[in-house]
Amino acid sequence: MAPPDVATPRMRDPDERALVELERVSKSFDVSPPWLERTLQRAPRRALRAVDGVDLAIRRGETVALVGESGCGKSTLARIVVGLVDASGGVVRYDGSPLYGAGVAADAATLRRARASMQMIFQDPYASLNPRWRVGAIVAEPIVAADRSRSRASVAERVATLLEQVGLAAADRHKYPHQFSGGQRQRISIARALATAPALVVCDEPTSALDVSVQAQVLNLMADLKERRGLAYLFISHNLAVVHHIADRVLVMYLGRIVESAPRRALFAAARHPYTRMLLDAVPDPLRPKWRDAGDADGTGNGAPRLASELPDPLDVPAGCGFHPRCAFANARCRVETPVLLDVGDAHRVACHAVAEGRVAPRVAIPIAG
Amino acid sequence: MRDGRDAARRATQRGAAPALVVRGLTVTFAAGRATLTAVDGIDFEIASGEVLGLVGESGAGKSLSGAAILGLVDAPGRVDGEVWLDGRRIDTLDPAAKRRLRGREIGAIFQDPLTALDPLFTIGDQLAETLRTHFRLAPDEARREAVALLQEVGIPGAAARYSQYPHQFSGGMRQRVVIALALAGEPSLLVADEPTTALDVSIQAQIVALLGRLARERGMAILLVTHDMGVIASVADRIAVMYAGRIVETGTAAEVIARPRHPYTKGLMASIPSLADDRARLAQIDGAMPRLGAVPAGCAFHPRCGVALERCTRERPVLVADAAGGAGATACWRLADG
Repeated sequence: MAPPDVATPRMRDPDERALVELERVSKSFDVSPPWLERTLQRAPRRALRAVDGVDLAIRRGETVALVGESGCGKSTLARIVVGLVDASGGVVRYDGSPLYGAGVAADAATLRRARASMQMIFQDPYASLNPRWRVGAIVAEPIVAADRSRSRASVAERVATLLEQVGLAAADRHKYPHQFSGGQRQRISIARALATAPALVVCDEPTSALDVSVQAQVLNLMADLKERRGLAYLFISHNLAVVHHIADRVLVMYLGRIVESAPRRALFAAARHPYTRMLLDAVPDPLRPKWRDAGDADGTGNGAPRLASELPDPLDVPAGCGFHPRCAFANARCRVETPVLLDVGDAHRVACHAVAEGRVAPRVAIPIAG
Repeated sequence: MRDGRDAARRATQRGAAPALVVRGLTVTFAAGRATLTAVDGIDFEIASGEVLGLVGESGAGKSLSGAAILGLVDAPGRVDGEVWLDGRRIDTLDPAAKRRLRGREIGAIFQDPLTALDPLFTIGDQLAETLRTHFRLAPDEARREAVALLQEVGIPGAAARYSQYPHQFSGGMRQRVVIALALAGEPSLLVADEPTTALDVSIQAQIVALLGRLARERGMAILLVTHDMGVIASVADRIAVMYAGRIVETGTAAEVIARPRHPYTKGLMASIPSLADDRARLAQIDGAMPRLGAVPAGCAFHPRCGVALERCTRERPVLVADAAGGAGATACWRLADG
């Protein structure tokens, strides 16, 4: 074993220490048919592996984006981080101490402290706010939960400050959620998330339900808050243009596994994994309508973005690399052996045999601003 | 109100033959003593084989415009104005005639492909039934036609998948089936309301490419209603931008996206994050689209507009062709007055 200072050189810089760390985190859901059916038809139990051995570290003040198509497990992973879903395997650590996971029994004080430091914003600002509660009560709830001895006046004062910080008026606390537009409701969600002064906010598609002009307002607000309060974000999204705008580091998820992880610029300029490249090619970007009037010679409507088939059934994940049925570079090895994340330099990691063997040439960097 | 007929005739004489001509389309709802205007006198036309993208944010009235053209606005909604399809006025038809028109001359696809299909019938049966509703076909002819349609929309192994149920199809494949259903009557107009919004980006690209090909190959006019500028840029020939029930800018897709002129379109385009730029902050339009019944006087955009004039608060701007000679038109006093 190497001396500690060699083994973990980045631990020496306190800012580089992980705020939240996931180690080999997995989650399986039991989707077996009912007992009677299993008995009568001799059907086996079935498990859906939503998250499969994910390692992830989020540092203070860092925005980590998690991208992937529907059903890839990104929302489940987000819920594991904040403790809304229990992991079936692996460990979630907060500030170095184990918090959730198999065989982990964190004490109440650690849990309370960690929960206050990690908050979540959900996709649908209509469903995530209680319609029968006034905004003031919604934002006050986490404050009171974290500190029951706090006086009513001081809670009210804090609520007013929070509402103002997210661009609402202090008087809005007397209103109900239905009196606000979608963008304003998402601001209320953000105010609620900030109530316990968290270090990390997990955002699950926070702007997907919003119009683009409102999305811009919310993304700008999130950028301001990050700057002012040194927040870290775990930002879940399927929208690569939004991720390109907001992320420091990007993780690409496919069928429950991280297939590529890189600093933002490296990922967008020089993506290595064939799946990441496919996603990037498919982004409908008004300023770069690259597949406009795509030759549709094969008559499949696939046109220029040559995308083989669709996401496989998560209950019937292909052997080897989960992406091989859709991958142009797949060979016999890809069909049997699951690739692991390998470092390709500059904090860029890729799980792909074809990349490791040099079957996928590093693509000439796409001219991307920045 | 001979406006629509004249436009239809003029265009026919030019040889452009717009499949669809819409004039002064207005949708209002009576709410107590007030009247709420959701679509406020919009004009546009779509030529055969052309894709018109009707874009706007939630509440702009774009979906309602599509529904009004399809004759799907029910009481208490009220539709005024004229809708002409292939030189025939269709908004004045009786409900039974409108019903015959839908599916036959106007196809429609919507956001959620699952709710558009009957889970209890195979997709082949649904397609064959639709075909036999529109045309006199023997069962085996209908089956052949249905398989041909499934092939046309890019479903691999169409003959084998004919006898499968909707739940056996993925989201993208379901949307292809829905498109095949919409094509069954060989419509001259397809109204596609957010057809790719429920799909993943990789699938979105395929469906959008498919729609573009169908417009070209079948000479079908497509009204593509969406909020997604990326989708519009990929497939639309022309764009009409809606705000608070009105069209504020029209033009070719390339023109409007590269050089938006109306302050709202400019703000909208600048607020979209793009892989092609690297801004620390997105441009944002403060405020929100006005609610129905609270649409400001004059230009509906003036309270959010950075360059509003005094006139904008009083007088509603009309669509004026680009003075610089472009194909576009904008409804903006600032641009009209120079």
